[in-house]
Amino acid sequence: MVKKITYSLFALVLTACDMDLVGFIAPTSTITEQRFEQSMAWNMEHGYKSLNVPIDNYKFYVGTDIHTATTVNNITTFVTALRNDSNAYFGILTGDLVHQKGGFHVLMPTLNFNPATQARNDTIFATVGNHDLYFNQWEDYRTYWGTATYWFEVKTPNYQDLFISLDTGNGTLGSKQFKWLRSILETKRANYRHCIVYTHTHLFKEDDSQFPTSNMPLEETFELTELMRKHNVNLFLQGHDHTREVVRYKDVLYIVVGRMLDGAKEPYYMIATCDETINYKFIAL
Amino acid sequence: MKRILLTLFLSVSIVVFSQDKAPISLKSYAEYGYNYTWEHYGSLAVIANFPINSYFSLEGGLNTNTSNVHALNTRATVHFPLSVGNLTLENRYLYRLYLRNNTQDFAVGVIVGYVKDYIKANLGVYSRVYGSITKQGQNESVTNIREPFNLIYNIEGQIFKQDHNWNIGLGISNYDDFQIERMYLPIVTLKGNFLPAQHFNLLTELSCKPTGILHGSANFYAIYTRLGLIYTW
Repeated sequence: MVKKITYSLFALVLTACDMDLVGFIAPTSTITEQRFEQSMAWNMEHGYKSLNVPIDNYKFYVGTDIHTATTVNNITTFVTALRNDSNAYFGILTGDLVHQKGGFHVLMPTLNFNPATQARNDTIFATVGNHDLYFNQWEDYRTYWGTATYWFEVKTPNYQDLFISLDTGNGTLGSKQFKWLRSILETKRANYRHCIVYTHTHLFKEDDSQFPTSNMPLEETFELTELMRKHNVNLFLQGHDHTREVVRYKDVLYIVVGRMLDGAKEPYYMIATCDETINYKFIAL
Repeated sequence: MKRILLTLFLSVSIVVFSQDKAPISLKSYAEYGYNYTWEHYGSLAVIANFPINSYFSLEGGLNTNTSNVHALNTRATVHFPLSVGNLTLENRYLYRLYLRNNTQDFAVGVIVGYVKDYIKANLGVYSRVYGSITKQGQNESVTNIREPFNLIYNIEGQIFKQDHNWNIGLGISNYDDFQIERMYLPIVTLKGNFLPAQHFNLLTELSCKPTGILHGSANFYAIYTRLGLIYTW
């Protein structure tokens, strides 16, 4: 434990230029409640996406904690693999897309379709992480992605699945986003085969794998896990902790997808297959 | 053998109970709060403290709130009055029943405390386990989530010494009477107390619980205020 504290303090000092130190006492971007309103305004204007997929048992790729600084090696591999996988139709990035100011301008060209190396232009969805908020980078995130709280659906020949993105960049959903989530689940869940929720902050703290990465307050953790159970959510994807964790709790499968930042020890991403059940595997980078 | 044990027990009891001890006290307060999850809520708490002698005390408390969350707290504290301040060693058990979420939460902590004139400080460790109250339909699920190691801390400064008849203090902590939060969710509390008459101590508190501080991306989460009194016999 002492070792972890020492390493963390060291890491904090060494990465101080990448950290927005203001964030230890005040928000580094627009606060949660305001970001939710901005996401909703964007959704109202642009609508919610519906993807048509020609098979019932399709795949999607999940990556997290890319922490783009100056290099884009792992994310390039991820995007290329996704767009060349004939059974995969979209990708999801669960936050901490960038590591430092200006990171979005380095990352985003990597996500553009490259016909020389990629077979299809599969859509990539994302949500925001705490690092994406440093130095007011929410504005950069909005410029490129528009929204962090939204849903989309995947229509297959016989089924349709619901995907919900949540913004937990500050370690809370906030009151308004929670109400929105409740409302979406109550009104829409019953119409879909599977429901997959994804966000950045992980819910449980079973180890100190990345001391002292923080979760949500306990009240919110308990409220959210019960809400997931009540509405039969199948899969809850998270990032933030940089360490893989798979837990089935209250009949919901919670997966912390490990980091895929360049230079990390054992980076990997996840491929999920939506069939009668949802299966998953992790791919080393 | 029985006689020996009985004699030993009685001897120890006589020694223990014959020590000078602090009086029994009863603390009660009402709380009003707002957080992003429950929104507006109110709660009531009662805590009884029983000093066994000047070195050992037991405490038990109950809390119920309008969000359908209820808690039971117990503490056993050993006191070491030293010339450099009072040192304590506390063993704490907190059980919370989140009926609104079909969830129960149990935490056990061991905490070392120090009190001297204007400051109070506590540091310890705790473990937590939480899970469903009812287990139906969870064949493949883990029953409980275990969070085996966490830090518990409190540091508090006051404008007058501890025995002054009124005081104002400011503290930062990740726990209070009926909650033990994870270490990275500090609760900042402004406290005031006033002794209007013998036996009575009025208390008031205003607490704020931000979230995301160790995300490096702090955000408001909760605020709550308490008003109550301590009656000491």
